Parts: sequence; C-alpha cells; structure tokens
Amino acid sequence: MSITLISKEGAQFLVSKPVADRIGVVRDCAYGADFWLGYAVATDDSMGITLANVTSSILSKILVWCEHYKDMEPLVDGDSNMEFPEWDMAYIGHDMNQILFVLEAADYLHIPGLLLLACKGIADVLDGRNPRGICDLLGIVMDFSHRQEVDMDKENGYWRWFLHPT
Amino acid sequence: MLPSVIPDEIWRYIFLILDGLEDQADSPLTREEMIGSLSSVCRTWRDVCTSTSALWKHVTFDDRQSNVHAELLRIGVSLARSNLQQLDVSIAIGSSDPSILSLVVLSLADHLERVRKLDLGLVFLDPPHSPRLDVSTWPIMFALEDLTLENIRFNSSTEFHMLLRCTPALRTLRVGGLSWIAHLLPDIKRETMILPLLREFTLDSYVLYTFVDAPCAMPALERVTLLNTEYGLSWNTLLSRLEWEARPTELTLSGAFPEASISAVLSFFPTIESLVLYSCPADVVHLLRDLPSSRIPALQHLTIDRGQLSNLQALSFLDGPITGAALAPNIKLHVRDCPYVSRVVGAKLVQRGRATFEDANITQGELLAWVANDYAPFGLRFYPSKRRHRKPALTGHF
Repeated sequence: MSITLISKEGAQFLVSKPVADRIGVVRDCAYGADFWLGYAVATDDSMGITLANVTSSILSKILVWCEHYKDMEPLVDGDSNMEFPEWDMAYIGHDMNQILFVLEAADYLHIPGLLLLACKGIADVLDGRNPRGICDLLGIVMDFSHRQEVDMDKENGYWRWFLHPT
Repeated sequence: MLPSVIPDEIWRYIFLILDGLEDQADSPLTREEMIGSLSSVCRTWRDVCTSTSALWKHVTFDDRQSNVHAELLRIGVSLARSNLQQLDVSIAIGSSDPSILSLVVLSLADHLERVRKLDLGLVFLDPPHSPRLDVSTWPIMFALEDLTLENIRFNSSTEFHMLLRCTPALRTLRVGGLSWIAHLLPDIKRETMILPLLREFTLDSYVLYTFVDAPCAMPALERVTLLNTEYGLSWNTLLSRLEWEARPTELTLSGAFPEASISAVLSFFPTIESLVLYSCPADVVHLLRDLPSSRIPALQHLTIDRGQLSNLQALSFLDGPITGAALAPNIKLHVRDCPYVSRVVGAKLVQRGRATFEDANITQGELLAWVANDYAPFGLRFYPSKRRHRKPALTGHF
C-alpha cells in the first residue's frame, strides 16, 4: 500500500506505508483511530493528503529521513544530552535556514524524532556564538528596553564585551 | 524567516541542549557565557531563559573571573531562577580574604537542602592559614551526591565527620589538594561513621589521618583514589590503622608514589580488580614483583595513565626482560597517554592481545599514515579530542 502526499506547491510524492507511518499527521489522516488495529480507515488513497505548510524541497528532505527510519525506531527520548547517530548529524547539516524549515515542518507534521534532531542541529550551529552573531544569523532584532539592558549589565557584566566588544 | 513561528517550548529545549554542550571539552564558551549570550538576544529569548529553571541550576563562584560582588550577585540570580531544581554548586576562591568563604556559604545557606553537587575549593591559599569551613549550622543535605573539597581547613576531625553526617546520600567524595584536617581529639568518643551509598572516594594523606581513629562503614564503596603520594608518609602505618568496612574493586594511585608505598597500599586492597597508576614514576615497572596473583587474586586490569613509562619498560610488562617477571596471564595492561611509549611499541602491545594503547595526541595525518601502513588491524584506538572528556581533576595533584 502507498500514500500520495501533496506539498504546498502541489507536487505529489508517492510513499510506502512504513515511510508514511513516520509522519504523525499522515498516519492519523490515513488510519485514524484504528491505526493500532493495523488496517486503514481510508481505503481510497488516490486523492492524496495535502500538506499545505510544507514546501516540496523540505518535504523531499523529510521523506529521506522517514525512508531511513522506516524499519527502525528513531531516537524520541527527550533527554537534551542525548547523542545522535552520525547519519542523523550528517543529514541535518549546518545550514541554519534549512534546519529551521525542517524543524517547523517536523513540528507541523508531528515527527518527534526529526524535531529533536533539528533542535540538536540548531544547538550545534548556535554553540559558541555571541548575541550579535545569533541576531545576524537568525535575523532577530535586539528589542530590549533600556532598563532590561541595565539589568543584564548587572547580572552578566563580565561577558558584556560580547555585545559591545569595543 | 523565523522565530515567531517556533514555539517557546522548542527554544527552551534547544537552550537545554546548548547547556548540555557546555559539559563537553573544547566548548568555546563557558556555561555562564552561553546562557548570558542566549538571554541577550531578544526579549523572547530572555523570557524563555529566565523561566527555564534547569538553565540556572549550575551555581558558580569564581572571584578570579570577576569581582566578588558581581559573583555574589550572580549566585543570587541563579538561586532565585533555579526555583526548586537540584543545584550543582562550584565555588573557587582565589582571594586571600578569609571572609569570602563565609560570605559564599552564607549566600547558599537557605538552599543547601537542594544541592546535588558541591565543589568547594580554595585556590592559592596556604592550608594552615586558610579560612575554616564551619558546618555546624548546615542542615541534613539529602540531595547531596557529589562533594569535592579542596584546600579547605577543618579545625578538627570531628568537624569533618559532622559534615559527612549531613550527607546521607553521598555517592562521590573527593577531598584533595591540601585539605587540612586536624587529628581526632583524644577525648572524642569513637563513633562509627556510616556512608551507606558512597561509591567513589578520593582522598589524600591528610584526609586519611582523620579516618585513622574512626571506624567507617562504606558498604557500597567501589573506587578509591589516593592522592598526594609524593610525600614520604608512612602509608603502611596509616592504612593499617583504618577500620573500613569496604571492599573496593578499583584503586587509583596518583602522583609520584614511592615504590615501597605502592606495595604497602596494594596489600590493604586485596579485592581490587582494577589498578590505575596515574602519573606514575618511571620505575613503576618494578611493581611487577608485587603483583603475584596470590596477593591480589582478583586483579584483571592494570592501567598506566600518563606515566613516564619507556618503550622497554612497557614491553617488559608483557615480556619481562627487565624485571624477570611479566604480568600474570589473566591481567590486561592498558597504556594511556604515556608520552615516551611510541606508537610502534603500542601496536606491538596491542598485537599480543593482552594490552590496549591510547594516545590522545595523534594527528589526522598520522592517523592516515597508520591506516596506510596497515596498523589499524592491530586494534589501536583513536579518538577525536572533542569527544575526550576527562573527569575534572583536583588541581593540587593532577
């Protein structure tokens, strides 16, 4: 049995049942509450399942992960110190833009293992960066009030040179 | 592109991962710098950081990094934001002002019950004149599992024992540097000190004195590490007067242990399965004479870690050309980071099947050369330095 997934742009991806099972939203759509009984509620899958918030490029990347884990359980433990396999770390890479989209899609599609992996990928990219570097990387605007800046000065005076190195 | 669409809970999880990364060696920022950096990005991140109590459970004081007042303020902020989290407290005092220790302990007084790990050390002080640690008002610390004291002075053994009575859940105890504890007062009643959960005990000779006249029950003790061994103390006398109800399986001797001391110490630990000689002297190879299987029947692993072992001496452990006796066949030799043992000899050791060889200093180019020369099948172990994480050492003797 296979299921058709339709991306935001309308591109269709035909995936097998073990691959689709990794995606919580698809699993629920296709099997509903009877997933654990082992048969599909929706017998006609020809219409496909539209994933309106996921672009084709991200969906194809996510399906690579699902294909890899179709026969084995990914790490889903919430321990923040866990170590991921090398394949996972190579898969997620260091492209922050892409990792963020994968994270967003994993959250939307309810794929806990991929969500944790994306979190780990983001943490690795952020590791060692100062606030200015993080703002530049993620396009965040420092929106502190003057009072908050004074408070931060008091708390963390010894590392403020990160913000104002000169 | 971001972060409004990403829920705070996910950022919180990412921050906790980053907090965990700081435990690894070679991390570019300290934990405090990382948390400070994250909380200075924007209001949203600051709110997430300040409301995540797990990020603030590491309480540190180090007056070498900044002034005392700033450090005390930081302790207060961490204690307030950590809510009910169990605390990992690390205090390093470099100043010669004896009142600072009291100030720091006072700032922690109301939170001692939730301290899980306490690392308390004075850096540059001369032990007899260092400030005294007064534990008379300390509560029972049911959460404390890991206690490290360095260069701390107690006026009497009784005070030190009083501290240990406050720590019923203690699993790891390290008392190192030159912690100065006076002898047990002669009129003190002998009372058995019970540390029911203690598994790892690291101590130096001065601390050992405090146990000489006090029976101890440490039924769960697995690892004993003896420090401060370069001093010519009579270990035989000290150890023979110990009344320990303990059967440790791993013994680590650190420092320039005199050869006679090694023999003396080993005879008091007949149950050990693993002996680690850390930073041992060059003549340690003569130890072979003291390792007959009849004296330490359970010994299975002998580790030479960062010792001044030469190539010939390393080989003689297995072949016995120097001493005339080699290791017993059931004992496996582990050579770690010994700078004078070449990799060729390391490969030979591994080839015999009774030894392992680890060298942290190998470069990528050397590794490729090894692979090209088919040395890899010998079982040599290589590991990147990033992953290499040693247990924090007591600064006085490591």
